Amino acid sequence: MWSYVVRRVLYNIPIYLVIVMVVMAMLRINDPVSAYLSKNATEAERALKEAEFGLDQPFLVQYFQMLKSIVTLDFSAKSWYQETNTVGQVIGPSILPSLKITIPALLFSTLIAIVVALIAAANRGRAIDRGLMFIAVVGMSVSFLVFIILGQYFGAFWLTEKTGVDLFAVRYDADRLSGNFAADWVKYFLLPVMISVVVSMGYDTRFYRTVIVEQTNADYIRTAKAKGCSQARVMFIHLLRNAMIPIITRVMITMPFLIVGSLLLEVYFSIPGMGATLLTHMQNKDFAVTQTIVAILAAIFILSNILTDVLYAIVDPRVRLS
Amino acid sequence: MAQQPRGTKPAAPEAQPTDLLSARAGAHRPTGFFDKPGVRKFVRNRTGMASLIVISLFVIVAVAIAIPPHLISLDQVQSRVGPGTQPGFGLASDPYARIEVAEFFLGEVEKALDSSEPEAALAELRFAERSVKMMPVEEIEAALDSGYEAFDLLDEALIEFEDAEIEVEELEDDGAEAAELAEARAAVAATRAEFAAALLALETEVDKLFPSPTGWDAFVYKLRLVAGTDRQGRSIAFRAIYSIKTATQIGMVTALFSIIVGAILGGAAGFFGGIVDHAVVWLYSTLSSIPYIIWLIVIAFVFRESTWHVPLLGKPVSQTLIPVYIAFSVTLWVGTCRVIRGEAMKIKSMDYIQSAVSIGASPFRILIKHVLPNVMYLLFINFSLAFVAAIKGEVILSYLGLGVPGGQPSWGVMIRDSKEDVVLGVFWELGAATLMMFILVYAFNILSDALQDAFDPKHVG
Repeated sequence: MWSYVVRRVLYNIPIYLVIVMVVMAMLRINDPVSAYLSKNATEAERALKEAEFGLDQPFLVQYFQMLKSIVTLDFSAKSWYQETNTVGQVIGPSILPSLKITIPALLFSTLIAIVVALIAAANRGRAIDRGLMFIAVVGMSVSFLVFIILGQYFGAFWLTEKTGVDLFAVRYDADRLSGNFAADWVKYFLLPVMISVVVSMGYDTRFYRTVIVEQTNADYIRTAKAKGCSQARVMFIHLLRNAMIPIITRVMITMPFLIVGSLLLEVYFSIPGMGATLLTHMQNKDFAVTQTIVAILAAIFILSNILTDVLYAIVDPRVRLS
Repeated sequence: MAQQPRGTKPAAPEAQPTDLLSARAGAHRPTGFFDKPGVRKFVRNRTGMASLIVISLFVIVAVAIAIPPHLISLDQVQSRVGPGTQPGFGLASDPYARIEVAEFFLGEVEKALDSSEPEAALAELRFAERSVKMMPVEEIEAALDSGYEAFDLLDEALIEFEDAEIEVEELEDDGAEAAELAEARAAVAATRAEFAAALLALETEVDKLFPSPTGWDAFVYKLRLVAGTDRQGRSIAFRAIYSIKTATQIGMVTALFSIIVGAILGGAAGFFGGIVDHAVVWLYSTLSSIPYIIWLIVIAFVFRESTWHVPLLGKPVSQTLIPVYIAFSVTLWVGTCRVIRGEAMKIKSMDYIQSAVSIGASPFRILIKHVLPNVMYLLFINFSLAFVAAIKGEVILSYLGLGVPGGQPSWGVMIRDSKEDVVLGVFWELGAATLMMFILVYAFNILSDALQDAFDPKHVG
């Protein structure tokens, strides 16, 4: 098992090294310093800025410095936009808000989608199955942004005005936090999480249903039924474990989309997460923060890829032998 | 689950030929495109065919907008047709909306008259099919005055009508006698009729200044207002239709690119294996380790300040759709590549490929003649998946301000612009853009399902 883990890690290291190199090269296609400084900046100011961030050094030197700062988790370079803060001080506080959306969203959407898919698959071909799948396709055909706009309107405006239930805030407001973790989460994060769950429901349900339907034709299901297992036991105990591999793949594949989604939700609900921070700093030509956040996000994906492979091996022992 | 490619499928057990003629017919089975079992199954699928027709209609509209006698020109979608934030459909005949329209036209004429060169300003005053009637400035002034007189009369009628209505409500609340109530209701009816007459009179006055278009123009003008106007008084309906072109443009370019690149790289990786396979797998795992939104932000960061002019378009690259194409293309080919690679690996070990190799067919011939036809349906499915992904991605990018640049409308730009209106309970722009997008994306979703049903032997419905 451990040798398998080590192999996966070793396999992914070169991928990550290249990603960092590509990102760094791309960000340097247009001179970041002249984008940042105003048009009439003097040559001396330019040189000063370049020297401060080490941009005057050869690319490979910069590359290894970047790798060193990632490996040692030393993000002490100055942010270009918020000049009093270091890059670490900008990025650090933004990690928790992002996780507060992505982790519950991933959990809820996967669980609900699997249950809905099991219901649809158990009633395959009947009206309930066709109805659920129809709703799924309709949901897939509407833009994420429309779900967010309508979700915010009905969840935060309409609900408060028509029924007087002030459950969700229109947008995140750091000054109005009550200090109670759970209450704050419900007020500021539950609505975005719910929107995220609704959006991913269509894709996930259809996918899981296909996986489960494929499994229902397998021999072991017939055996389980023959020995007298109840339908629910067959579905939830026998079938689910065998459907786990595609489900894990699916969950991991949706991770990037989750980041996309949480980026949108963060921007829309003014939640100071990683995505919103990246966007603000990019729009203000903050080269230092842009480069570091992209590198960190890529690292998160690589780690999630490795985690996927390890989970495979745990669920299906055949994987680690191949 | 070994897949049986269509090329080697044993002929289905046919009914025993009863005579020589049908036996011969069985021996010479037609082999045209429409006789393939998958194609036959697809053509029989009614929802699939319907979605294909819908998609074709959208593409035809997009082409009609894009090629020279433009169905709708960019100027047309950017010019005002009336007052801002007007409702569409039946709600346009709401009296308050009609008053607003009349007020808007009178106000615009007044503004033009107040300007330093009234004649030039009047000549330019034009809202799509509706423009100021050509007459001397004095006459226009007179017409405007009588318009405002009619407006004052309308105001009085409106106040009376509203007062009458309030009285009825008060009486109802007080539980007044039936006779009194009936009298008050009669007063409401009378004042309503007066109000309607005054409104009609006002509109007649406005019509003298701004003649309502007639014939075909009237139809086009109505069509412009069918879904209301946006904040700047531009036609929502026309913007939503014009966006078909934007969406098709983005979808076509990125989907074509991604299936071509995906097919070539995936096919090569799966078929040749070895170092090619390693290189391709490594390339796509690298690219897909960064979600496309991050790619896009990085690409936008690069192109934002770029002064590089695109040779044929004569515009700086940040004003074109090129950053959007690149961002989608970089990530969307990966899905196709994965699928094709897997399929090519499976096909490679099939008997008929082995026999083709043994009779000395070149790898290129095998790829084109034997592998490609068997993965064709996958390319179609992935084309529609990539198309949908690009259209839906465009909305997200436009919202973030990284998508369609300049004044070109797109569904994403419209949905973004509608954000503030929704808070006020105005859904016209959001609704129009969402509906258009929904029809196209839904059709593509149904189409890919139908393709899968028809061609994928493993597919479970």
